[in-house]
Amino acid sequence: MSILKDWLNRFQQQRDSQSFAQVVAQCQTPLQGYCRRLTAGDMAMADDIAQETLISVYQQVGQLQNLDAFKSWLYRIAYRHFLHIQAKQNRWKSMTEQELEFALQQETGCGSEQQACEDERLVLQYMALLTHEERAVITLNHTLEYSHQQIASLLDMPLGTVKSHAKRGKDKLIAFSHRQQRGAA
Amino acid sequence: MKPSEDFILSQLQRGFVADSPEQQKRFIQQTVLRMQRKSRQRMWVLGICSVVAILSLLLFFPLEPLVQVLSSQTLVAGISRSTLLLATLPVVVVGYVMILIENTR
Repeated sequence: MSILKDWLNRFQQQRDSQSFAQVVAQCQTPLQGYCRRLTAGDMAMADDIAQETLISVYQQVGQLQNLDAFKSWLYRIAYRHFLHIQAKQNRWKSMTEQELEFALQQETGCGSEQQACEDERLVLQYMALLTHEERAVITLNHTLEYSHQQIASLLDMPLGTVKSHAKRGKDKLIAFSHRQQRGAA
Repeated sequence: MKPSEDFILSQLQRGFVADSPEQQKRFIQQTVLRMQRKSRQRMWVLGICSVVAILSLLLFFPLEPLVQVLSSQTLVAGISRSTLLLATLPVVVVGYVMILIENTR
């Protein structure tokens, strides 16, 4: 975080392309990962949302007082961009278990890709089972290690709603893995 | 592959998988180019909107009080409050329009 903070400081002062590129480099993996989870693996659109988010960062970075809150601010902007595109294009609706099962059967696998990449792809496919709120809450909570309280403020949701999205999302994933296991047995 | 419950939960807790260095480099380049294009567009739109706002204010605002105040050599204390208000109004409105344009972009 300290390297990111140094570059953010420099970027806030100079607003130059080089420091912006360094800020992008420092936060691109978690931001892309988060957007990919939100879109349930729509890589092109996820990268588009990530880029739009970073452009908003470029335009509004002067308003950010607390640099320690940068990443939360980044994920908040990304979620808003995602909601905006979703409302406009009516995409990334959640699938039923049967639809996902069918989609997984059509899947041919990564071939020569690494195991971590295969696993991430599987997680992205599983995200399709969840609503967009559940995807955001589950990813922020489990992968990015935000508390429910922090997520509530980040996504502008009541704490109770965050907790119920987290529980419902997790239950859906567990239920589907049980169904898959039963199918395999 | 039929993943178990534990597998799914452990995968959720694992960090994100980074793209290859080439893909990362391409993403950064695309983002910087897109940012530069957006900034140029922004400058153009802001410039054009500002010119239009200033021109329309010059055309439709009563600027005589401002000219009178500036040319009368009178001390500010000697000018009535309403004249001062009328004289500074165009400047305030131009500023307000500029802030509105900037914030809504």
